[in-house]
Amino acid sequence: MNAMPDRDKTPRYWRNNLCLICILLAIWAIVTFVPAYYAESLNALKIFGWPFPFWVAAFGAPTVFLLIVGAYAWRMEQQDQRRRLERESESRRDKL
Amino acid sequence: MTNSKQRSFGAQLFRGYAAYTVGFIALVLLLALLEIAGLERQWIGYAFLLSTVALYAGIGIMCRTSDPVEYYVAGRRVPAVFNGMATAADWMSVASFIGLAGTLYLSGYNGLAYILGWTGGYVLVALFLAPYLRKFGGYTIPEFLGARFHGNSPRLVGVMCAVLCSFTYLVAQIYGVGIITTRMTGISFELGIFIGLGGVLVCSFLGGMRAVTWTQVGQYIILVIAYLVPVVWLAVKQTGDPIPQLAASSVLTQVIEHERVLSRDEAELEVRNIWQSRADLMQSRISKLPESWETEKQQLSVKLLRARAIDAPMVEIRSLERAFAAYPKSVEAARTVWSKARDDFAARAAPPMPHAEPFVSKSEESPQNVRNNFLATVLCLMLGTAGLPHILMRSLTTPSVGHARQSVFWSLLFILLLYLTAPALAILVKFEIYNNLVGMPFVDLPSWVSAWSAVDRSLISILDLNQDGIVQLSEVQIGGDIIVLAAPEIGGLPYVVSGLVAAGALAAALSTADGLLLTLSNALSHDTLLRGVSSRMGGGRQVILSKVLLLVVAFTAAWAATRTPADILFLVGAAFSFAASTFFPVLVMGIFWKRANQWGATSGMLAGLFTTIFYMVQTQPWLRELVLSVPLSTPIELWWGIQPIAAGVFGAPVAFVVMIVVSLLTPRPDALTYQLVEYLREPDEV
Repeated sequence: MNAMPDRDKTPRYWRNNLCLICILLAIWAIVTFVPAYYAESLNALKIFGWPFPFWVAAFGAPTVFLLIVGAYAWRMEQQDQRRRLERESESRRDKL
Repeated sequence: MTNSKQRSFGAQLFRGYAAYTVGFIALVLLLALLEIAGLERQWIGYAFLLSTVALYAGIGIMCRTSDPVEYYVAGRRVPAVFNGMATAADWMSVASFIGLAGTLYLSGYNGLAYILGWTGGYVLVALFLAPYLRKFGGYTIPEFLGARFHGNSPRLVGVMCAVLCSFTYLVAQIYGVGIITTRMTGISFELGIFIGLGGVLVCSFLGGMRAVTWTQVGQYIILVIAYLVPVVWLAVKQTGDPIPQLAASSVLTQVIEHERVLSRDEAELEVRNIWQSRADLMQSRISKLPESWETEKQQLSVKLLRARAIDAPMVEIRSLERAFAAYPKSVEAARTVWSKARDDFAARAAPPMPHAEPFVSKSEESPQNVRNNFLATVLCLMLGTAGLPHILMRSLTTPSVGHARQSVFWSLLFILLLYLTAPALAILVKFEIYNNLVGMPFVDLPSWVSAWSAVDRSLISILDLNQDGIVQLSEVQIGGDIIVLAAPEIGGLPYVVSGLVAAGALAAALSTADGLLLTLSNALSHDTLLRGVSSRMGGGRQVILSKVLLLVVAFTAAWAATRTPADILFLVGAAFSFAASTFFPVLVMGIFWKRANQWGATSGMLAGLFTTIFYMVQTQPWLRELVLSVPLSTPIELWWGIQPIAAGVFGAPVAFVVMIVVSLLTPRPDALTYQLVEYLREPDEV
């Protein structure tokens, strides 16, 4: 019961959202900046016949961006659904 | 709208656009047959120009409306997939369609900053902005600022920033329309702009966002077909593999090998030495300024007099006369012109740039500096992409918050179809140039070389500098735009495909122009002082006001485009910096920090904007001359070596910090604002 007011301040739905955003943003940052920063030393590495940094910047990173956006849309759709049910039951409880 | 209704609407749209695609392909095939039957090239150009513009205008007429919800946000019933296509067309401008592959060809790895920046920005749109803007459900982005920060000042500053971001961008698109129609049909630049503008206006004027959305979907289909057909063809021709990325990976090793050979080739070295000696000559002239300005002028006039006296060939006299007429008018002008000539010659004296090698610089810049600029550009473009109002506006047209999130996914997917192909195209064309053009006798030059250099010398020019009758790579001067424009001819495709590519470029320019025009006129009519007038109007009258402003904006932009602005590419790049340092910080803070108030928002946006403008004015030579009247040749002091094009990386943090500090120093927002933010953070009802 003590946790109630706290949870009301930042609803679980929003906390989950922020958490998800942080994780995806971290992936975004790593994919964007790490291979580019170390591009010169990674250049000898080959992937599918391409030098690794070139492949990441041209094909790998944009594909990961697409996956990030897709994962966020999919996951939030589920969260939205759950939150809607939660709200429904809340309003039913209020009526009682 | 209920789910089943939505689904049947989607199915209807799918059938409609499938028929449209089939119809367009049939048109291309018909023109191909006519070409075989002997139709002239120019007529193919006309057919493409008129039929596509008529098609867009037709969709515009079909979607005409004066209902505000339809006019401003397309009735909020555009399914995610189609909204994604429309956003992709809205997003991909002439710079993406023609410029991107060219940049990758010319700067190899360093050019990938654009691919990273322009795709990574969509992650920020999806995570931070699109769902919340849709939940708010207004008509424009400044409207959101006005509601969230409770005041006219954030809204008006928002309008100012929207105009700043969108207007130069719009001018560039209209300029691009003029260039493409001129190249496609040979009609004059002004007439080309006029026809293009007609296509844009019929669409946005009659039907607002509704017409623009459905036209953009159609334009996306045309531009993606136009981009992929020649690349796939080229890939099959070179490797037998229809997937361009796989084909590119198999020729890449040969390209790298060619680069190695060409950088040591005897004849290449000879040509490069000639360029170097020309660069040295310029340098010696510059170092002897101001005396050399006088002596060179005298020498030139003596040469001219002597040529006339001995009755030299007319060509020689003419070229001397031209050189004399173009001679710099003052010592300062000479310094500028000669410095540029020296740099151009020095660049041509450099060995071929290794395509896949990261952070190679053409000048004496250190690799670390190139890397820092690469990262700064990527970040600036990402923040800018996420802040451009004409892209954010597109998330307002979806039926729900969930659709807004999915729409970003589809947008990025449709954009990637093109962006993942551009690096492959650059490599395939480079392979063709190294393999077939270099080492060829001048008498056997392929016809596309002379055809395109006749259109514009800056696209491609080849000069037999060492007079051995063989093409050396250092004798070839290539402008980036030719990579896409000439790809069909390089691949040996019929002319009809060249017409198709031009039609695709036109679609890219028109679709972006449509979106920008609407953003500008809606912001001006909906969010400025006119709001005081229009709020007393009915919905219909408000739409009429928007339409009038739309015409005003369109003609102003067309007028600006015919005046051929100085450095249009820099201005377009600047739009990203402006968006990154104004809209992105204020929108993110407005959604994710309840405590942000109107004083913080206004001062933060202004601080970000002024920092960006200040840096650009200090570091962009021609801008500095224009504003501060500092001569062009005065050396430039960069902050941490960052180029002015990425000025947004300084503006954005300043905007964030100012926003936080000023908000904390001023009273907290009222309870209503807290409620609004909490409302934005809840999922919507289905």
